[in-house]
Amino acid sequence: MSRVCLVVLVAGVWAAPAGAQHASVGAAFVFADYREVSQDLRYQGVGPGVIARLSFHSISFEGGAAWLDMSPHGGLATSGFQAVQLDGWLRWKAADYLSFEAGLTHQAPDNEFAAQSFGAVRIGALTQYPLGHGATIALRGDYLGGAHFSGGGEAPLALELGLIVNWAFSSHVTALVDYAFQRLDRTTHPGGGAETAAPLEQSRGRMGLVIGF
Amino acid sequence: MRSMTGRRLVLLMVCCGGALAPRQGAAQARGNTLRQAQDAYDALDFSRAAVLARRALTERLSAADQTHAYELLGFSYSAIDSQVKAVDAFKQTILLDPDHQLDPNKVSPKITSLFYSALGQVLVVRQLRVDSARFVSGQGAVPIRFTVTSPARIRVRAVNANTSLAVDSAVGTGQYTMRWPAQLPAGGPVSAGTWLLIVDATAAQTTFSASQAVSVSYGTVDTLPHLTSLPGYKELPEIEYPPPSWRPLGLSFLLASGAAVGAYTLNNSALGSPPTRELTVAASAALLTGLIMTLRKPAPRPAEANIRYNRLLHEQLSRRNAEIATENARRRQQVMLAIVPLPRETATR
Repeated sequence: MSRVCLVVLVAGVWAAPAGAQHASVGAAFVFADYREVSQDLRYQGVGPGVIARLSFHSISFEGGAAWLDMSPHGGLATSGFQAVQLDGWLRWKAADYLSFEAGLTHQAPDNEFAAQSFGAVRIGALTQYPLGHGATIALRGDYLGGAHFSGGGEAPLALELGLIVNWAFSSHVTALVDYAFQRLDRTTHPGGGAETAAPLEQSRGRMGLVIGF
Repeated sequence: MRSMTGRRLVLLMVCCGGALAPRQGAAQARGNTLRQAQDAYDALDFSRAAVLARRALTERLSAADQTHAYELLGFSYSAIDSQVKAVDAFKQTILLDPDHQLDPNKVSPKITSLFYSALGQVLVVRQLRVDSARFVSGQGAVPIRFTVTSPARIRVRAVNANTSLAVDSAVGTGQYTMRWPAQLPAGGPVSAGTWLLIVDATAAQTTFSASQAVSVSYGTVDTLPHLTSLPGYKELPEIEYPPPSWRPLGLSFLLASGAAVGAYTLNNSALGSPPTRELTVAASAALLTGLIMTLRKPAPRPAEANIRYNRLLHEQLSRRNAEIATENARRRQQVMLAIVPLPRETATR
């Protein structure tokens, strides 16, 4: 079903008039902070990332991937991990200042003993404003639903907040800085026993440059 | 007593109009008899003038001299109270020169009334005039003006080498204006060249015809130029520069603050204080961008009202040019007729 949707989406983009389409790709420098269970399991890291954007009419898609090298930071953790962070957003611009978005977020560490692998579906809204000369600023908020974790458990309360600054220097070159903060109130039932809180929190910054064509 | 009455009448004629009898500068060219008749009239010897005028008419005279001789005869008879003879003489004058006119400022009312009495007793077509005209075939006509002196059946025709077209007809007397559209019965324009406009007036067994030659030539109908702008309307600039404002910095501050407050609010205290590095970088970038945009000259923005106005203007212009193109296509199929009267033909009886 998802493949069919993807094919329909790609066909729609391909069939749209050239003037209504805009595609861009770019690279980013990503830096993140990850915490889990308690303040003693805290990691910080940086890494490269890629960005892809596609828009036609009032629909836009943005996808990003980052390869983070996370290291323990001021806690009891002794070893770091490598993580692949994947994000995707499908946005519909409902008004000049308001868009609705849906998408996915997924983090996959190479060492699941060090950090959780988790994924969720995001649904939210974004408000955006032009600052002039091609610059825009946006604030977004999402609910992260259907979260699943490699270590089990569930997160009935999972929210995401984001701040995005774009500055299009020309019709082809855009600089971006964005920030995302995720809070997932994960709970588990170790050994089938009582519910135990095992919250996760991730803060991620991204600075990048995308080239449009 | 009779002689006294006659003298009084003569004196009256002299006072009223006899002294204003025609004196033509071309009298020298006329025959001696006609000149003597004129001299006798000028000397108020009207009986002798009548005798000499009648004698002159037996001589060989040009048409103009014949007309003058009959007119002099009419004047002389009028002066000696021979009204019937005067009317007869004027009738001959009119028949020789249907357009002949008396100047009411120089001729006595008595003579003038006799002249008009004669006019009513003959059938002629007088003062046939055709104006110069220029019009698109099928959309105009050239006026033909004339006067018929007696009740008659009137027919106006246009004739050229091989075509005879009926223009109009009427029954009556007086002044007429008829219009010739210069069209064939099938609807097309008449051929270019010389046409003769003939007015036939028929009463009982009397017929009088007058004609006027006209030249018909073809021309092209002027086309309309396409418009590049609507008169009285000009396009408005589609880009406007908003006045400088602190809005970009304010917006950046507001949204960055919102993100910071949100992050601090969402932060799970069980995981320690909220991370600041990422937020600081992003918020700083937002504030810096807002500050730069505030300090820079505002970016031009589309003036939506002007754009809509210009779009309406362009639509109107396109519509008007489409109408002009349609009109020009129609005009290119039309013929402009130029009709000019030629020197007048003489009347025939």
